[in-house]
Amino acid sequence: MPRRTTRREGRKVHISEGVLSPAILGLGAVLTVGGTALGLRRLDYDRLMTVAILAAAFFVGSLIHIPIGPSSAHLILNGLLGAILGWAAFPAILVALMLQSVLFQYGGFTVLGVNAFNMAFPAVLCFLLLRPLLSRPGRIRTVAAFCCGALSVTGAGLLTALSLAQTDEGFLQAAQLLFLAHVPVMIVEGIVTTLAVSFLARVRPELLHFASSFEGGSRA
Amino acid sequence: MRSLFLLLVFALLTSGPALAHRVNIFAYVEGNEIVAECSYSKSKRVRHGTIEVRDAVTGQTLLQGTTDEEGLFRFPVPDQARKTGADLRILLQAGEGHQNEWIVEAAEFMEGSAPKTPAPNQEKATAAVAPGSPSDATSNAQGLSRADVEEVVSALLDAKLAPIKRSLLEQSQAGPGLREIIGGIGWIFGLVGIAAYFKSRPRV
Repeated sequence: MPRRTTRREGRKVHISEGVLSPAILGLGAVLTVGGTALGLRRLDYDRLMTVAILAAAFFVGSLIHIPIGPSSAHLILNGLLGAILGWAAFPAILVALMLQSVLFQYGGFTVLGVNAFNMAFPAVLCFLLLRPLLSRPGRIRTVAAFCCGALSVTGAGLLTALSLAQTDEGFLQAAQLLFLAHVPVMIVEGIVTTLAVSFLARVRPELLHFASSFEGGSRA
Repeated sequence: MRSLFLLLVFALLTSGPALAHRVNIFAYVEGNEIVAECSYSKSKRVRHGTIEVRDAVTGQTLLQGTTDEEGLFRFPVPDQARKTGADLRILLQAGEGHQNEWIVEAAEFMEGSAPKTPAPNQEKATAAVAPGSPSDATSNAQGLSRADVEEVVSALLDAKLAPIKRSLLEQSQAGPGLREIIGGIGWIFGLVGIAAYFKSRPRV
C-alpha cells in the first residue's frame, strides 16, 4: 500500500466526542447502565471466562479492517457476543469499549453509553428473537447464527444513524452511508458467528447460553 | 473449520497496529497562512472534510471550507482574529460522527504580521516603517528595523520548523500499537478475575 493512499476511511460505528447532544448522551448512558445491570445479574460464575474471552475478541475485533472497494470497515463482532452471551453482552461490550476509548482513543468517554447501547442492544435483541432457533441443531442453527451476526451489525448501524439524526448530517444520509459500508461486514460477521456457534455447539455445548438457558440468575 | 480460525487469527495479527479510526487535526502557522492537516491515521487523509474556523472567544464562525485530496486546508489568518487577538478554533467534521478540533493560539500568528517568504537580503534596503511604530527611529539608522528582523527570522523559523511539526504530528497520530492491544486484553481478564473473586461461592 502506498503511503498516501486513495482509500477513504471506513464508516465507523464509534461516534466521537462532542457530536451528540447531552440528551442523547444521557439517554444512552442510562440505557447502557440498565442493560449492564441486567447482564451482570444474569451472569453466573461458570460463564465468566466466556465473557472475558468474547470481550477480548470484541476489543480486538475493531482493529480488523475489511477493505470494501475504496473504503474499509472494521469488524464489530457484537452479534457473536449476543449469540453466545445474551444479556451478558452488555457488560462485555461496555468494558471492551471503555478500554478502546482509553487505549485507542476510539469514541470517547462521554459517548461510551451511546456507543455501548448501539452495539449491545441489537445483539441482545437478535439473541432474544433467535434463541429458539439457535438451540436447534443442524441447518436451522446455521441460518439463525448467520442472521444473528448479520442483523446485529445492521442494528448497530441503524442505531448509530438514529443517534446522529439530530446532527447536521441527518438520519437518512448517515443511515445510507453506514448501511452500504457495512454490507460486507454483515456477511463476514454472519459467517464468523455461524462458525463460532457451530464450533462451540460441537466442542463445548455447555458454553452456549441457550443450551442451558433460563437458569442464569439463580446462581448469581 | 480450524483453518478458518487460523485465518482469522492471521488476519488479526497482520492487520493490527496500522489502523486507527479517530480523526486527527493539527494546525500550524506558515507565514501568513494557517495550515490544517486532517487525517485518520498516518496514511489516511481526510479528503473533503468540512472545516470551520471559529473565534475561540465568541464562537463566531470566521470562515469555512473543505480539505483537499491530501487532507490539507490552508487559509490566510483572518483579519478579524488579527485585530482582536483571539485564538482560532478549527473544527473538523469528517462525517458519521467523526469530529475533532485544534486551537491555534493568537500568539502564534500575531508575531508575523505580514506575509513573507525567507528572503532576508531584500528587506534591508526598503526599511519600510511598520505602521504604528514611530519609535523605531534609532534602529532605522542602521537601515534595518526591529520589525523587519522579526519578520525575517519568524519566516525562516516557520520554514525550518515545518518538518519538525510534521513529525510531531505523525507521532501523535500513531495508531494503537501492540502494547495497547495486549494491555487491553490483560485488563479484560484482570477485571473478570476480580468479578470471579466476588462471585465465587465460599467453600466450606
